[in-house]
Amino acid sequence: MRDLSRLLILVWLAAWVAPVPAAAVDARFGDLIGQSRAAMLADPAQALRFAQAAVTAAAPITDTRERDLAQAQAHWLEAEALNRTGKPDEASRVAEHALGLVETYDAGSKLNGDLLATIGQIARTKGDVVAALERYQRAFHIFEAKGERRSQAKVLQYIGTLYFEAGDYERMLKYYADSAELFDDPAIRVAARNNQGDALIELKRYEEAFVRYRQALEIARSMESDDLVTSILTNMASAQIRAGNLSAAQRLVAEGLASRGAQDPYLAAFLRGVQAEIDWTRQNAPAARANLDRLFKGHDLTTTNHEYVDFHDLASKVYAAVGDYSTALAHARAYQRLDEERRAVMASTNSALMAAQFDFANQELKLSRVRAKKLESDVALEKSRERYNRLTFYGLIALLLIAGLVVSGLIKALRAIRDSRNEVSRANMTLQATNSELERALAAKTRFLATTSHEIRTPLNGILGMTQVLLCDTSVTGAVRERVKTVHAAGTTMRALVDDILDVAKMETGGVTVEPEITRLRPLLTGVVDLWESQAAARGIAVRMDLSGCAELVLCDPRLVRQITFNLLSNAVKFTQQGEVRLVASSKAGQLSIAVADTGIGIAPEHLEDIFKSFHQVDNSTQRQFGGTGLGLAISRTLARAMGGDVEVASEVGKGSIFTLVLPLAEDDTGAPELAEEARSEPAASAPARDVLLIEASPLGRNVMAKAIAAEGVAVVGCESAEAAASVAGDTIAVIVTDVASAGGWEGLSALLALPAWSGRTVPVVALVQGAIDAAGEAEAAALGITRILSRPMSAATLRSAVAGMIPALPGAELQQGKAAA
Amino acid sequence: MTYQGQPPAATPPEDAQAIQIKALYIEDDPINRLVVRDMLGVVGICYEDSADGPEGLAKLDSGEFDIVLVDLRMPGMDGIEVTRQIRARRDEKANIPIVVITADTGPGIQHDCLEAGAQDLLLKPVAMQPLLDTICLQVLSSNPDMEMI
Repeated sequence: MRDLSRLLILVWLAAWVAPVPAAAVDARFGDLIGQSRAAMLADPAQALRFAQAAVTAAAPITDTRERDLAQAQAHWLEAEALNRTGKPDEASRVAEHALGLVETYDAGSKLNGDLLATIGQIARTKGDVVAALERYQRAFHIFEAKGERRSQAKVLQYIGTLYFEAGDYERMLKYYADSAELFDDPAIRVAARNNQGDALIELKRYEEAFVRYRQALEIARSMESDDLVTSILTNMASAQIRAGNLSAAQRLVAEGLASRGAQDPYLAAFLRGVQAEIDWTRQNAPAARANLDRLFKGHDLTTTNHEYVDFHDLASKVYAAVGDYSTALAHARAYQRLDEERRAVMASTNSALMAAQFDFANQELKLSRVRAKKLESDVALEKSRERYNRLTFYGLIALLLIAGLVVSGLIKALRAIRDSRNEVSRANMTLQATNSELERALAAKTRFLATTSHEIRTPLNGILGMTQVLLCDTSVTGAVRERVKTVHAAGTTMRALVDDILDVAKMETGGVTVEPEITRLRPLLTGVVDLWESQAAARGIAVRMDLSGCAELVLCDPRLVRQITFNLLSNAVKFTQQGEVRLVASSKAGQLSIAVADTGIGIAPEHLEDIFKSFHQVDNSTQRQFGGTGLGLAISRTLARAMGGDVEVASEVGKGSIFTLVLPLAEDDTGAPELAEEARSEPAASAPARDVLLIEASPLGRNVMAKAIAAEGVAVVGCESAEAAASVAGDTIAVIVTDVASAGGWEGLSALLALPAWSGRTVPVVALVQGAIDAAGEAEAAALGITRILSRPMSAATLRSAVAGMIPALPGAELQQGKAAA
Repeated sequence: MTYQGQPPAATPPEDAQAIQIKALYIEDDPINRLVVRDMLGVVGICYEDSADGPEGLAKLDSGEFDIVLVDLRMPGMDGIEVTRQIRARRDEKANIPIVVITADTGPGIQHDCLEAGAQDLLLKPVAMQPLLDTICLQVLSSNPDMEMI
């Protein structure tokens, strides 16, 4: 248990013993001020009378300013005395009044700082640690600006004492060390050593504590201050009890009682209390009782202050032990009252910790500055020192203004936090319960979505797989074929919906991963447009694409860009009944935008944000008319944002909408500049023919051969016969690879090569014949200008090398997948 | 489950001159087996299937195949284990191309499959053309010098 009462905090002593410049307005006034100061510690009631007399004595002063300042000084002492006599509210009023006077006539003066420090002490007495701290800070800043190091040191001790009350002894010690750095005179040092001793006792570092106490005692003796000597002896005795040395404690109490300071009943009372504790510990209850009787003689047990709290605790046990139950009960109640106060102080002090910590850091900064200044000023000339002081004065004012703003903000916040702490913690508990329920529900929903979508995909697989197989069967014709197509289309739509739902489920579990790579935009976007072109065409809508303003290579996640563009095109085609859909990609410094514009129904301004919400379409009739889950835009925006971009919309009802995917690009977005340059310089129109026309009757043969031939930038156009090949004959074909039998023999091949679509060009041919090549065949081939005949079966490598030699070199153009049309 | 339909084979398999590919599909779901069988049937890829890993491994032991298609998630032995066991064989069948077919897009799946020794991974639902492309590519890549064209 903490022992505030017995460990007398000595800041007051330090403050009052120190010499203070006299107001010297009037001899009588000056005397009264001096007497009030002298009586403050031992007899605050007396000090109060002197201070009030000083207020009256200052009244006849004719100069208003002088009178008000003199009275302010008297009021300051009056407030101190009131606070010390248990009237903090009255003290507060008087001090605030005095503060008003000082701030009117002499703002920033030392008296201004003193008053703030006193108001801080009053606030501390009233348990308003936050307010106390703020006043201490202001006082500190004023003293700092005035260069009042001694007062600065004093305020740091006050702040340290706050920490003592909050039970943060380490930090209290640190403040005291800082205080000692700022100013060192016997009065400050004696308080510091004593109070450090108190803190070390609380930390159970008894040996260190006794060292400090002995130092304090030595200083007090050299100052010939009887009060200090007695107080320190009291603290040492109390500390020895804590350390378990009862005989040492006993010796110290005896020494204390013998000291001159013990003639002061206020100080003697505490020695009696410590003696009572020694008696009680030695199980001598009657002796303890006798000492407690003397301690509390003349005290109203319902109004004692915190200095007595632990004596009340002791008394309640001692009086009960000797059978005086009613007195024991009165002390128990007093203890309870003061203990509650103490707990409240501790709690609010702790809440002020954050602000104080800020201050602490601030102080450290300034301390180092002060140290540096001290060194400089020691070697500086008087003249330069004056200038220096002026300069630092203004510099510090600026600093203080900033620090003051931050601190007052923190304090306001802390006050609000303290007031609402209880409600908040109650609300938090409810909220936490609700949140975890919600989270569970959300997780369950997401799991349900993921599982059901997954389960739906499996049978859907079967449906779509089979319709694909049926549509490949040429024997399925007419009305039956149309019905199968309808099943297939419906199944495809359903799969898109299920995929959307899976995507959302994945995103809700945070499953968007972005994997940027150097991407060729043209083939990517062309591929997506291709997917929608036929559907759009079937509805009479044109799909146009403009990639002229766009870099060829960009760093992005191609998978996500494809998915977003797909969704935007899907929407555009879905909601457009006539006109066109345009995709425009452009890249400029740091940004890639892919805009999809339609001439569709448009969106009213008030719905523009709603459309990005999951499961939202502008109205239900829209959904009935156009279908879809309405998830596409929500997904697109989520994906875009995952890449650091966004999907934006501009729209006008009846005219259409423009959805734009905007993505940030690194300044050096190509990653392969020379390749990009090459790609840009390639004019699409003059690209050399690089495609391969493959004629092979067997679908599997076509597939396998297409794979063998496939190379970057080469499209393999597969046909089952020479007749089928006629429709693809043209400028893009670089070479024909044909199974001679599949092409209808040499005759069939001859007809193919004579087609006007070749524009008179002699297209090189690789002819494949089954088995050995006979002389007749060679002759026929030669007649058609065919020099390359390969005998089947052959290896893939043979076919590949034969064809590769006939295709012009790749000019660094687009990457195309080998397309083998079945 | 019995399936009475006939695969619509466009090219008669008995054509001696046609390219021959024989695939083994290991998959516990009967509908998926039928879909893949009929898809392969469209281009005339010969097909056999098994409903689980051990049965599939036994089929591979006794037959001649050009490629193995295997489902990833199967009760008992999964696709990765099937792949490992094939790769652990001491005969030339250890080098047969293996394609894993799965609906599982979770992170690390592709890595796990490739590390176990699979050549490629196809996502369900498998469309016909990518399936055929993949089979042809893998069969060709595994035997670039075999005279199969």
